[in-house]
Parts: sequence; structure tokens; C-alpha cells
Amino acid sequence: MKRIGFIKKCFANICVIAGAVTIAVQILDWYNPYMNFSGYLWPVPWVFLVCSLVLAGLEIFS
Amino acid sequence: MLFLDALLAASLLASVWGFFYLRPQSGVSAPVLSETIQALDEKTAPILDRNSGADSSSLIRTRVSLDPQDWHEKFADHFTDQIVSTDTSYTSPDLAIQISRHSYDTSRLDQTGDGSHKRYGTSVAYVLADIYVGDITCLQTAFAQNTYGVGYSEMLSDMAGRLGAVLAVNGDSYSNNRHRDNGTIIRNGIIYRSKKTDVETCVLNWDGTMHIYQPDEIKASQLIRGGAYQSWVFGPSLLDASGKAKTSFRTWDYIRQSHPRTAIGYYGPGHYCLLVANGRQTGYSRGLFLEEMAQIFEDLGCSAAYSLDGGHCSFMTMEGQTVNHPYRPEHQVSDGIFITEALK
Repeated sequence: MKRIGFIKKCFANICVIAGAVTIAVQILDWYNPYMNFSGYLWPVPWVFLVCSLVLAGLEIFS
Repeated sequence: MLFLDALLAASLLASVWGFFYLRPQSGVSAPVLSETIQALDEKTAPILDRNSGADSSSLIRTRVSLDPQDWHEKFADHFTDQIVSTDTSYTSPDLAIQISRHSYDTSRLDQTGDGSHKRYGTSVAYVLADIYVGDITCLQTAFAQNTYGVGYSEMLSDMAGRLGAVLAVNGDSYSNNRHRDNGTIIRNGIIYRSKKTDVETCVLNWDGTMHIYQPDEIKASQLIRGGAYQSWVFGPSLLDASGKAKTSFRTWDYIRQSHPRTAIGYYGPGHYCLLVANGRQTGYSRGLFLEEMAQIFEDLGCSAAYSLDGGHCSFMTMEGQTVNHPYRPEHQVSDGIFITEALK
């Protein structure tokens, strides 16, 4: 349980980082879509989604 | 812990910004126009020479097709035998520039976005440079540090000094467009980039005509044969085919707000104007909406007008003096438009 708790904590922090970056990128690209931040940081939303799913799975099934 | 997360997120963004946007990369040394003209005169390189590599000598040049009409005769009443320069005008055997400053109250607050622009009020102020040239080489462009690429920037006033320009404004900040399909960039008759785009492209030809292409109209081969001299990829275009102000624009929401702006207007071959609108200054000038700027160009009688990069980049300098009233000190830009004496 202690290990699962640690994993959940790690994934939660990754979610916070990836979520914050995704929001910032959306705002920056709204101001100037030419800059294409979302193009350079395309993996970040995927990291956010995967981590969210893993976190939800751990929360539900553990 | 949340503070550490925020710090890591900020570090990630800053790293991407520094690595992909600020770090000079993919630089191509760009010859100034005099070198291009010299190469054409000496026939050291064919006009349609295409090779690979990042060497400027291997870039494609467009066909030089000049207007058969002599602009010196056409605009003779605007030119002077000697250089005559004042704070607001400059005339010479090749050039006639008249600066005028305008301001008016629009009675319209900028309510867009989160309403943060409302504090700037309803007044607008702009500066207009009316320009007659005796030769198309009087209208040049240049890249910061004479290099085409990402991460190169320079003060417009320094670039103007280097080129000996009488008047200069910022360009389209071509290197800010980081999409794969980021349009066709032609400067001083050399093609630096030829890609698809989803925005309008403004093309000035060697014969002095200006044409604004819709995204699905533009083809590099056509521009080469047609004699494209300069191209800008920013926009939107401001006038319709009959010279009337547009009311809808091909751009994104942020650009539709009121901003400091730079734009180029076209009357006919050899006669152009450059407009820089001041903005973000409470009680003095909030900046222009696109439809307001379009109306200005319609009232001027232009047949085409095109918006260039604005905001902090909007800047005009004439003979070493700042002409507009920027809301922040001069900003480094990636390119500019320069009005110079004709190349001999």
C-alpha cells in the first residue's frame, strides 16, 4: 500500500505539471497561434491524460 | 510540493522557449539588395538557379521584371533635384516621403477579451508615411543581423542605420510563425521559404505592383515567373478588390482586438504608404481595430493594404528619429521594411 501511495503521489504531481503546462500552452497559442507552442509540446497533454488514467485506476482499484 | 510542481512546469516552458524560439538556428546569410543587384548585373548566378544547402548563393531568385514606365517622370512633381529633409518630410531625386500624424476619438471602447483594454479609452493616434519612389530598389527589406532564420533579432533603428535607410518600419516577424506550413518568404527577390499557409500573403513585385494572395492561390513557381520582389506572411488584408474596407478578416481573435499596428498600403506602382498606429496608452491611443485601420486605407484611396506585425513590434524610424509613439522602448525585431535612396 505504501508503494501504491508513493506511485499515486508521483502521478498526481506529474498531472499537476502537465496540466499546468497544457493550460499555459493553450493561453499562449490563443494570443499568437503562429508560435505553435502546442506543436512543440504535443506530448504533454498525452502525459497528462495517461497519468490521469493511471491515477484514476489506482484510486478505483487499489 | 505544489510550488515545486509549478516551478517544474515553468522550467519546462522556459526550456522550450529558449531552445526552440530564442536560440539562433537554421540561419541563412541574407545578401543585402545591393549584392543581389550586383550579382544580377554581373550575371554571376542565373535567376532561376536552384541548389540545396543553406548558402545564400544557392537560394532561388525571382525573375526581375521591371515596370516599363519611368517612375522618375511619373512622380517628377514629388521629387526634388537635391535632398531636402525636414522633421516630417524627405525629398530627393529618387524619393518623396511625407509624414503625417493623425488622432481622433472613436467613441468606442475595446470590450473584447476580458475587458482589459477598456482602460486605454477611445482615442486613437497613428502616423502615416506617404511614399513615392523613383525605383523599386528604394523599397527594401532586411533581416535582423542580415540572417534569415529563427532566433535572430535586432533593433530596427540599428538595421536602418546599417542600410542607410531614410525611413523604416517593422516587418511581419516572419520567424515567429513556427508552424510547418508557414508560408512563402521572398525578400529582395530571393526566396527563403516556400511552404503552404493558411493566411493571406502580400506580394510586392519587381514592377511595383502589389497583390495579396489567398492561401489557396499562392504558388512559388508562379511567384518566381511573375517577378515577386517581396512577400510578407502576416495579414490580414484590409481592403477588398474594389478598395473598400473589409468588415471580416482572415485572422485570429486576439488580432481582432485593438492593438498598436503596422501596415503597408498600395496606391499604384511606385506609390505606397506605411502606417504605424500607437496603442496601449491610456487617454492617448488605445490602438486600432482592424476595421478602423481598413477604413483609414479606404479613405486614403489605396487599392490594397496589408497588416504587418503589431503590438510591441510596431515601430517607425526616420533618419534616426523615432516617428511613432511606442508604448514601450524600442523592441528587437526579426525583419523590417526600409525606404532608401535608389541603388546606383
